[in-house]
Amino acid sequence: MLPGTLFALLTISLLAVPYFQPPLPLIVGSVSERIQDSSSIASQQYSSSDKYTLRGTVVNSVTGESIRGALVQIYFNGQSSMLTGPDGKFQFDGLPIGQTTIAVRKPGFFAEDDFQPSERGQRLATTGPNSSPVVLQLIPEGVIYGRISEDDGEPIDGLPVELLVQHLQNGRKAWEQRPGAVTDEEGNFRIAELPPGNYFLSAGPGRNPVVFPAKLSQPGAQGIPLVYYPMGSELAAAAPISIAPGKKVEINLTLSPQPFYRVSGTISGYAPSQPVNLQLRNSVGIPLPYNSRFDSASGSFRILWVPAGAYMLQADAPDGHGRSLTATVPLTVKTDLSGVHVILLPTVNIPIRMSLITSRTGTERFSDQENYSPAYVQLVARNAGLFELRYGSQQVGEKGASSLELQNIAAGTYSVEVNPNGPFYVQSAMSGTANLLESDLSIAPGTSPLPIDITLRDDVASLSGTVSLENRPRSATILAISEHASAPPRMQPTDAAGGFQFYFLPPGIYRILALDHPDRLEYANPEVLRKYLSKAREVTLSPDQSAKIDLELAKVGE
Amino acid sequence: MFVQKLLPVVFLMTFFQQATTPPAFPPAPATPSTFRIRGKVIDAITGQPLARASLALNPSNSPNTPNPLDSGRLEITDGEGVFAFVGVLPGKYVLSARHRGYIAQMYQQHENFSTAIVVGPGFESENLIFGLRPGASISGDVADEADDPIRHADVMLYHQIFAGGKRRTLQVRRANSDDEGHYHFSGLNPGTYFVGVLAQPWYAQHGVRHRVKPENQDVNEGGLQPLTEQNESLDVVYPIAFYSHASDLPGATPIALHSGDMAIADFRLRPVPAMHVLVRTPVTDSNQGTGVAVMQTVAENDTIYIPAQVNQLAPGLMEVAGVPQGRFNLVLNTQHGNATTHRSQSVQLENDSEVDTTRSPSSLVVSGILRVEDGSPVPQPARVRLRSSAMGESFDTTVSGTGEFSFKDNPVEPGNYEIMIIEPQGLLVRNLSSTTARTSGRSFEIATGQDVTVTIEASKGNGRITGVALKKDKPAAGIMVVLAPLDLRSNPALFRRDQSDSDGTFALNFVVPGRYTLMAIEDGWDLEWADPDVLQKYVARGEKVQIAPNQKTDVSVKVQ
Repeated sequence: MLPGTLFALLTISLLAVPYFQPPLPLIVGSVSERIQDSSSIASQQYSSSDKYTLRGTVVNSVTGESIRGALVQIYFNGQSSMLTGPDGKFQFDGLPIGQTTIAVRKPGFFAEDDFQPSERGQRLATTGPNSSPVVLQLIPEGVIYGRISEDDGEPIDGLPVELLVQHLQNGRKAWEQRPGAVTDEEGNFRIAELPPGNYFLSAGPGRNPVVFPAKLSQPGAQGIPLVYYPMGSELAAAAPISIAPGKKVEINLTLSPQPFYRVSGTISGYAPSQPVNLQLRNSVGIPLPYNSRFDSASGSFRILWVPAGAYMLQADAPDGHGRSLTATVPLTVKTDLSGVHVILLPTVNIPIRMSLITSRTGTERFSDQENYSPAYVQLVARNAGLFELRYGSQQVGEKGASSLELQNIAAGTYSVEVNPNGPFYVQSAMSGTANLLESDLSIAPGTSPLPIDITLRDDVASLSGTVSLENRPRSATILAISEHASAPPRMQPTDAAGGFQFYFLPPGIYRILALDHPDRLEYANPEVLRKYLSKAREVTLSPDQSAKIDLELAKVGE
Repeated sequence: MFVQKLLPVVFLMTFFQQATTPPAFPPAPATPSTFRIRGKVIDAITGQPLARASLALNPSNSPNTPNPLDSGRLEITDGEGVFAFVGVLPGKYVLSARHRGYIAQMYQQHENFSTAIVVGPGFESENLIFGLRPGASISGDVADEADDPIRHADVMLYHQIFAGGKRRTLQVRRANSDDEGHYHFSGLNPGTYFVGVLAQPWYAQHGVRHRVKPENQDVNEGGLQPLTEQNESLDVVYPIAFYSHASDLPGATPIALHSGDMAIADFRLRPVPAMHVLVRTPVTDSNQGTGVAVMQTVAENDTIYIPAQVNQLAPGLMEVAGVPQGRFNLVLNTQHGNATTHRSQSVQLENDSEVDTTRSPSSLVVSGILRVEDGSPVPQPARVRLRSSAMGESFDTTVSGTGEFSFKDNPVEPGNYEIMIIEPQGLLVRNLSSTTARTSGRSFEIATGQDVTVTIEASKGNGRITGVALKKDKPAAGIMVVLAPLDLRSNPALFRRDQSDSDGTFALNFVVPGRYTLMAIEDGWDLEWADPDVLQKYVARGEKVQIAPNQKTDVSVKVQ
């Protein structure tokens, strides 16, 4: 594996939903230098002709054993790299006095900073007359392996094995599907490079029946259904497999063929000569590889070989005029199911009208930029099973006179997220009289929704300060929790000396909290956050105000 | 019976037909009689019956007629290996079988040919013996110089096969080693194999070795400054490795597999210093971009991408790092407007060497004219393909209605090339001639440093031959039928083959009009039939046939 991809794997999610990272705010004036100062500490140097040595050891975080052949990288006048020796030791000579980020990696291990938010995961090392050796830890990967066979002992080959894991993302519990495996001809599978966590394993479904009917169109087929470890077709009844660092877990499954049923019916509302895509998802929204057939001449569809269970049948088709048609039908399969009727309905486009109230000079130049939009808008559907679906706004219209639009939105309920693209905050987001900052956006089938009106302001407040613990400065991550429950907390890492600065806060009342490990805290959940709030400080920020505050570090888990 | 798709697809077609297939036909009116296809699946080596083998039966249609919904049927063998499809309507069917640990196959399969089962009054469709061969496997471990496993190594399997009547070594599979460095290829046919591995040292560091001086940016006038590599001991690569201890396919140890063999091929890769090579590319204006990629020709038709690091130092000057010493193809993609010129140059990469692609020999342009034999305009759209025999690369270009074409966007080096018509289907190269290059069949040799003009004569409208292979005046099944042009050394694209079905019948499609010899050869599947000397001895007892455009010819041929 190429080095960079190990961590990238962690963020691969099942649904290819375009998750938009809002562009970094454009920085006005001299502010930019200070931001860069606080975020990058690499290769600071002091003028001295003396040369120093940086030495240290790389150890296994679980066993404490030294690790040979680990790559250690530092940054003085460019990057220097070396592999640790047989005793796990490394030594860089001829270095100037100063400080550097130091990184270590080796296949089969995670670095500590793989599990930290990228802003503050970097480890620092100091060179100079009094520097001491560094101990760097590598966290061994987890592995899940095993064998899958039928109840008569016959190995099942070609069966997909998938892993689901729940982790915290932006202070919220989120599910993630890991790259899985397929059993080999002996029924064996192996999935490595697992970070610590609680994994839910699924096996199946088998693509082909193991017992055939006399004719494909007749009932009587049996095959391997989707099974969550240790048994059953529902994730809710599954048991997690706990992977601690370095743990290798063997999971053997014996699966019995189950009756496969046929689901058939009709689809209406599609455009002639346009393809219709049919997809069956299980009760937690995971698409299943059951192949469907659709005959556009008669409008009938059929899916062979579906085990009993609860499903969502989703149909999508282009309408031939650049829009899409969609329908989702819940199904409970206990026997052959016929006469299922799927009515494709047009999706809607929702215009966004944005207004910017400016009071500062210089702000209006943002709107002069070509194709600039002061905010990016996303609709988030959380009813799609385990995974949220995000629909991002698109720019439409002529160059210079473009506006935003949310396109091909199906009927449903969505929360609305507005991310300003500059030194702004969202004063209001309305759909008619509905306040989208406080409530969800509902789109009823067959209706065309009102435009979304968004008002942004530039009279932002700023907040700076320092973090300490027992009177010593500490690096931390700062949460700014708004009085409006619907607004997600703002996050900002401190520099190494505990200094932090928020530049573009909407005016209002905040509770400010300094945490050591927000990545381990479900901070978007008020219940979870409550016990830390005694360490928070409350500030009221008025428009254009710059406030200063000192905080004491709250340790997650204590 | 020729089946265009390979077997796994054929088998799956039964299960998953495209959503676009036409609607189910109404049930056929009851015919007076239906028939039975019955047989036994056995281990072809031991003769042991195979229980729980699955069989798929699909109507044998011409390639352009998809099977109707539900036309496929499945059966599974019982404890004695016996299967039976009952109530089968008269017709011709493709039968395929699979069993875990065995190679999935069509009935009497050879290459993409099989014997289709003919069902109807007077045809024998019972007592079939369907032999499946146990799959062989090759597995092994890939380790680095410290004996640590190399994970995600790119392991390539090559198979020496008969294709187009010639022995060829082709890449047949590709796999990645797992976290223990282990790889596994299973379900392999018997034969001769080679295994190659491409991997990168996970710790490799390929920093640039040159920079442009800020005070003098003219790289041709002393503006280029060498840099010392801080991490020289880590500036290493693994050259492509072949089992065992070889650096290329010709030096590789063949692994001979019989049915059910389990071979082991372990690798221990050793790093070598990575090269840093300066590459001068044509200086492009700001609207143009040149990309450089490094490829390596490993086998015929197999050019693999080498993950080199390419840094642009200045416009028209690149530093290519992270490749071992050796011969590579430097691929230059130049973008001008919406068009991209794609050019390959074979280069020897050595340290501190410089490659100047601005004055390369590979600025030859192949162009020509395509003439349709009957003088009619070239049907549109039309495309021809130029394939380099040495590099294995191919380029496509369009042909105008008046027949002109030019590969001006893909200048080439001297060497051997092949030209073929890829669109429209049914327009076939009949003859290739050139005043500036030596031609042979549909290939030609560029020897000089001159642009080459070729003339393609193409046949539009093609013939079809159907017939019966007769052995002692009785139809014979599973026979290889070869249609060869009278001149066995002419264009190999004129040859056609089929395998006779259970009623002895065969069909040869898309036959270029002309005079041919038709031969039916028993046990002919291991013949190097593309070798004129091999085929010559069958010609005398073959049938001479004359094929006219758009004509169907029916002929019986004696089995030799």
